[in-house]
Amino acid sequence: MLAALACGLAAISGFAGVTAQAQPALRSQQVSVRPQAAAITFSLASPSPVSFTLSDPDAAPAAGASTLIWLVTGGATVSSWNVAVSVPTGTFSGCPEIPASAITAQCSSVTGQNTGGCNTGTFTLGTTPVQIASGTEAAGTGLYLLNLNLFITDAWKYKGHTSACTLNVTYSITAN
Amino acid sequence: MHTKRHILNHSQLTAARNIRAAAFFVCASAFVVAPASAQVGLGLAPMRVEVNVPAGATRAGSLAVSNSVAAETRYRTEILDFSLDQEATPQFEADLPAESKFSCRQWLTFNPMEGTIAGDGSTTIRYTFHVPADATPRTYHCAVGFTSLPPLRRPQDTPIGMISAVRVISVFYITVGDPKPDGELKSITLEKVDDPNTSGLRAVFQVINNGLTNLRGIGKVDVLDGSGKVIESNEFPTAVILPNRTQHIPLTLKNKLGDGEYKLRTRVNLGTGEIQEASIDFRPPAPAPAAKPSSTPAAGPVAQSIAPAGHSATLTAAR
Repeated sequence: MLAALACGLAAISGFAGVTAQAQPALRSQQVSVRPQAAAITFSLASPSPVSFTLSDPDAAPAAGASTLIWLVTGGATVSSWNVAVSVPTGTFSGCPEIPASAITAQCSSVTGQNTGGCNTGTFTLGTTPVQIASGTEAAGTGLYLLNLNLFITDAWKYKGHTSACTLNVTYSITAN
Repeated sequence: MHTKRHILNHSQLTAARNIRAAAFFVCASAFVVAPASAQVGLGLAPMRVEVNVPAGATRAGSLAVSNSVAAETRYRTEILDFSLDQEATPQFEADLPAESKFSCRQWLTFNPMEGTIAGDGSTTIRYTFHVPADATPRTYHCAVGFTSLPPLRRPQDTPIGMISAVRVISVFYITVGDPKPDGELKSITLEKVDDPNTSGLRAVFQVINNGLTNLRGIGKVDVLDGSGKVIESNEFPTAVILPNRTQHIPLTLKNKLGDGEYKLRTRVNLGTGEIQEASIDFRPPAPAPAAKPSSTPAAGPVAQSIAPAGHSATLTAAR
């Protein structure tokens, strides 16, 4: 489905390029700034779950990665999109001694139409959503792809586990 | 002559965009096809609902939520308060007391609140909102989020792992009456940011929304060199400015700047029907010595105010 979505948009992207509008001119009279109503499809394109192997607490943080892809249609250049990450609970299920904050995320790239990009730095996962990328919608249709690096820092106080030990993570998108 | 040159440039720009877009989609397709494991994806339309209604009115409508993967997906609906923090980052919470005077959360009902969507299928979520008869004229805001739920069978072969969900959010702006936009670009601050892929500077615009309806800025933010030549031009950030508050809106400057005197100038229409102009003269700070490479993640985002150039520290704002 996602592949079809991306491939099918190749043609649409040409259309979007042709119809790209000039930047809004500054005028002295009242202008309408009400954005169009956009639609979005937001998908996790990388495998889930993301697995980590923790074998040595003294080693460098274990790394993983996620990729998100989203398509905005009916976008307006006066509106913005925002991608955030959060966790519903503060600890891993099955190993409550590991806090969600053991995981840090770093947006490495955003590819797509119009302006936008990663928020700089690394972000500790928590129950409060943290914005990892934002940008301005393309006029009409825009397809975006975000790569996210994930790191988990091991610690000697974490027990060894043989059963599943998982953390639910929610990626949120809005266009406001 | 000016028009012709503009058209030529636009055509070149369009061609370049198409080439870039084609390359991007080829790459995106290849990437997206590769993973064979479970994926998750939700679609939502519309992303924004903006209506103007009288006090006491009741309105109904619907949202379309779709499942963009082949496997069946469960979802949950949440009615949310909505706010923007000091970095203009949207924050969605079940209850934000600070937004109570502008929240439409309690006016909204959705049906269903939870359900299952077949693979590659979609469903219609109906909503109704009732505006209280004593609602004062202003623009109210709230949101609804649809979150994919994890599979009922958890993977047992993953000692430590993250199960990802996606949440798509639609924002509601309900305007009661005809509140007039009233906003002012109050100040510009320049800050250092720790990002080697940018100029290392960002402008932070302080906008005061004195009115009871939303504002959005349309305009330009230019960087001029010492001779007055524009060397970088950006759109004024498109973040919504919610009513009756001061909002800080950051914009990271892209191009690295050499030593010298520069001016950052913005001309923006905040929706009030007038152009507001403000500028600040500055000299970029000297670059810090190169740090040793590290195998651990870098520190979090860093922002530090810098002083404007000594002889022209004045912020000018013309209305």
